[in-house]
Amino acid sequence: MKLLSILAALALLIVRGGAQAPPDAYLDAARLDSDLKRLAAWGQPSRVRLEPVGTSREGRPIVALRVGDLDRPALDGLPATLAARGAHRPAILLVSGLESDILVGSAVLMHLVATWLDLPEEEFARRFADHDLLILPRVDLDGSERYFRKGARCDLPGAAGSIDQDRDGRDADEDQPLDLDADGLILEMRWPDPEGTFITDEKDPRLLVAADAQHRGRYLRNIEGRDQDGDGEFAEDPAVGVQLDRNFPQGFVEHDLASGPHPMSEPETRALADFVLARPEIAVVVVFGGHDNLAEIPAAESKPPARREPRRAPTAADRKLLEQVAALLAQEGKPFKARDRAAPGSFHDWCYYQLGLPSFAICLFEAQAGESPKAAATSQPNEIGPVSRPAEDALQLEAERVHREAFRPWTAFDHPQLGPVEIGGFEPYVRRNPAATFIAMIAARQERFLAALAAQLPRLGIADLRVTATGPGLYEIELDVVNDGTMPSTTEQAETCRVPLPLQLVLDLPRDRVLQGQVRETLAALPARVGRHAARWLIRGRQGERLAILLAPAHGPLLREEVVLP
Amino acid sequence: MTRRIAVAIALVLLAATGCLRAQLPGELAVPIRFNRYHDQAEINALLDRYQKAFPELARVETIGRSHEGRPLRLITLMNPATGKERDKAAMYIDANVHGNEIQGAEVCLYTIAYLLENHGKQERLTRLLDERVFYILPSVNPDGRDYWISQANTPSSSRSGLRPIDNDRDGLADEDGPNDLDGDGSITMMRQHVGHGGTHKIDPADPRFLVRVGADEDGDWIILGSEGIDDDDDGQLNEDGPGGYDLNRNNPTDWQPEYVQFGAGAYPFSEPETRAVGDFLRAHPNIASLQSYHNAGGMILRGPGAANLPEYPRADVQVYDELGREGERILPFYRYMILHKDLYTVHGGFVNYAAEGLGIISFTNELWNDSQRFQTRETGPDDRKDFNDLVMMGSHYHDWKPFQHPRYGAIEIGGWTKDSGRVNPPFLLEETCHRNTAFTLNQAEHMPKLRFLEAGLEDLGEGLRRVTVAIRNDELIPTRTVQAAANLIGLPDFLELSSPEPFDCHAAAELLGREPELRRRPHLLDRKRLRLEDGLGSRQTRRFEWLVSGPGPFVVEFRSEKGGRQVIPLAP
Repeated sequence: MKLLSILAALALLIVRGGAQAPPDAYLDAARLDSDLKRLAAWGQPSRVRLEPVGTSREGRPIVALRVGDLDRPALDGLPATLAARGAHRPAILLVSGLESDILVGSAVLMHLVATWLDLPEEEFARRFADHDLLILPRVDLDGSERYFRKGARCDLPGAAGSIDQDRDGRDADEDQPLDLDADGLILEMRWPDPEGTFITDEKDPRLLVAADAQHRGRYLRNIEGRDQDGDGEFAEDPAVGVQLDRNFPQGFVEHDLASGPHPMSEPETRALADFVLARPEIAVVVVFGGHDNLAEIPAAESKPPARREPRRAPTAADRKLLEQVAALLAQEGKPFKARDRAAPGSFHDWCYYQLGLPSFAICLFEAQAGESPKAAATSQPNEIGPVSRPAEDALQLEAERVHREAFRPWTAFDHPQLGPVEIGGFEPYVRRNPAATFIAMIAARQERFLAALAAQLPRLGIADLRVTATGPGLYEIELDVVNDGTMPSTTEQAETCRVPLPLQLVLDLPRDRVLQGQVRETLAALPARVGRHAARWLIRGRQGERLAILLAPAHGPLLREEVVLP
Repeated sequence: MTRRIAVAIALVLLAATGCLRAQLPGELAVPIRFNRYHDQAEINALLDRYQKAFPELARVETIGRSHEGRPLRLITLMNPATGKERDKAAMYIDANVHGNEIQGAEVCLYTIAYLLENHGKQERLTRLLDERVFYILPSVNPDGRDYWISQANTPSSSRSGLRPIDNDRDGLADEDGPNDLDGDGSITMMRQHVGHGGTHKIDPADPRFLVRVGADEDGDWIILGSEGIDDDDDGQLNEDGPGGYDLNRNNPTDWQPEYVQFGAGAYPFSEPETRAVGDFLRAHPNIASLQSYHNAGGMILRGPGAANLPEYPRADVQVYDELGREGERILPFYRYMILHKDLYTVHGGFVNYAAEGLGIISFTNELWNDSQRFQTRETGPDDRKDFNDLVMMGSHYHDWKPFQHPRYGAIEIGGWTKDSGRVNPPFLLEETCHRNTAFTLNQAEHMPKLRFLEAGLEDLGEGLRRVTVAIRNDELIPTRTVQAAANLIGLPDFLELSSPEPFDCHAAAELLGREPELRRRPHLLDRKRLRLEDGLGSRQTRRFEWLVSGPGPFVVEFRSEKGGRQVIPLAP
């Protein structure tokens, strides 16, 4: 027992001594959990804190980290309406791992956390001068475990949970995909059929594309497997549950098994939603996953939604914000376009449309056909600095290499039920999860992007504060509320959905001493840089009296200006 | 004396023929009165007593807890001796999702009492309890109910649950609700005499009331609003009271966020009460029919709840129309209506979720309406006043009394009490209970009822045999609504041929007529098992055949989530 404690103390010493190398690996849920706890224990308590989010369907703890200047004292002596907002400092929420088949985001975030916690004192203080980060590396802990499964794998998306996908009323998951040719991979099958609905892609004959009016279909396709339940369908009831990033209420597709029985039906999505709703300090959301709204920015709405209709496209002003942030991301290399443009029921859309938060979805890696086929075949993560020539971007080259090389050619196979088929296709997971050697490079780029993004946060302040004695015991107070930041104080959609608390200006005086002006004024959103709002009060007071004026932005921080009556 | 004896004999005869059991029998296993309202603790105690008195027919469970921790107590009524719960079509009934709309819980209690107390005594009711399952949740919002009953309220307040919400977005939740300044148990109105420049004057026809002055008149009164003192000192009165959301806008089908639909909640099923009910419905796919009681207005409402949604498919509408028309006969002064067209738009409503999301035939009844006051369709503007004065002996209206208000100074407080307008006066409660129970029980009788009409086994020679069956739904409600079939809601119905001996099945077909060209290939699951996505419609018969080789004996089983299970053996 004693030996154990000595060993534990030694281990702690080693850990605290800086032996905290960034993991740079794809971590299973247990390792991710222990690493999160290790990082939280290793970092100074003033810099990092674990915040529980919830529990996955299979019982795994979903955990977030808060990184920033956590020792900052909350303002005290505040009016009751502002008491809860006194401790707030704007936070950027970083979420990854909403999709079971994309693990690169969590690896990158773990790398970044280790990097941030290892920053020297001054650098850390500079990096986190005016905001915190809330980091949630993996939401779909259960579904992502399939990546680590021994034996043949496939990368069908979905969390844990049994769904009777073929609605045959029998046990769910009774017709799983199988590795028929025993090559260790579950790929795809194709076979010629007069009623085929697919043809080979003219540009890349390895791939199948849907037949159209001009081209008669030649092939049928299916994931590798047999008809194990005798219903004529092949591997149609795999053991996957709901896709979490389709389970949020914005654009939710009803009556779709992959989206779930209803929005927020899953323990993970509900926990994440409650986590966000309980943290009004979240000012910006960044999601690393399978969607993007910065490489291909969604079109702005042509007109505002009709009365009692929800918004379905960003407002023109909010689209400008997307463009502004897309430009920051583009400085770090050409961003990857997501495989699917639409993101029905996604977390990032929920954050923007229903919570009014600036919400950015970033696809960190996606294998794709190269623009120049002769580009270097041996890409290396050798370049960490800003990228000036995207064509030579090592990450792009890697994405092209994977697209080129990770395709197992179609190979004849005698299927026990279908007869001759071909089995082939992309290896599971590799198209969206680059080799672990690229994690540091992606992390470095994203850190520069995130720092630049943080520098653009709205910066609300009080300017030109003037107090004039205008009569016996009468004082006029005037000031301007300004936004010096590069983002508006809130999105335009926040003004519509009214979820973030409004920008409030409070004169901390009893109402009966204020002759003109509002004790508590709710201000409209202030645009970036030029945003300015003039306020004026006429009050009764006495010379030398100290008054407080408070400015409460939606996501913090609360500002207090003291005034001494002349 | 002779007359007394004659009356006594007549009464005995009536009792013997069961006429007295048109409502509840005289001797009740669980004594209960339907001329009073019950708080949640009393409702829970009654449910427990029913379970104790009828252990073979009633089972009480807690399906969740309200925000304040009150149990959501649901009673299941069924006869396990006549079959399994999941093999029987079920009706779900709830009430009081809006805290102030309390009388539905009493209707639920009446339904429970009516079914249990009459089991074994009244033939139709016995058959209902033997053949069907009833899930009854008298109060979906026990917090709101108890708050409305025990605290000062208006007829319309305490609609919400009691999770604190920052309605005025000032950083505090529930900090400025109304205040019962005069301590009379109701939140009534405040008025002030201002001499001139007011908006109102005394009604010349009835000095208890104020009327608005015309453009060229000078009023001497103003109305300050409902009783309150502006607790948060923000210049607004009663703008952030208890709760402040709507559980009947918190359901997932066509749910819209708060900026589109007031009261929606943070997300679908964000509230423990709605989520518990939603989980219960999804866990009980045998629910074929549903009723949710509200007040007021005398309406039998169905979806869709919003104009942006399509009208229900024609065959489903026919079912609703037949039930709705029947309801209008059972419930005098009630009208059968479509929510968004005839009442107002509801996004995220409960019956919309049940109907459109889960494929259940679903109604909301709005209990009590103005015509019930004087039992006539002809209603007038003075009915409420006259009913108070002539029938309620003045108990629904509190006369104005002076009050010294901390902000406004000398004012007067008075007006309509909380029980004056939306809930039945207790003496008119029992009829509402019985008629609405009758409406739901008729509906429960209309739930799918299946039987095999024919079953045959024909030898075609060379070892080939033809199995034919005809299965019929004798009732109005289909096993699968058209909406359910179109949206692949729940499981389809299945028809399966089996045998203890090995056999080959060569073909299966649905017979649309006697001729071979009218044989349609059904959707097969391993040939012996047919998938009937559209189930059995209203009073529909479907015929099927299989061509098989095998010794038999054969068994055909029809299995339907909402229609139950039927088996027929086919001996060679």
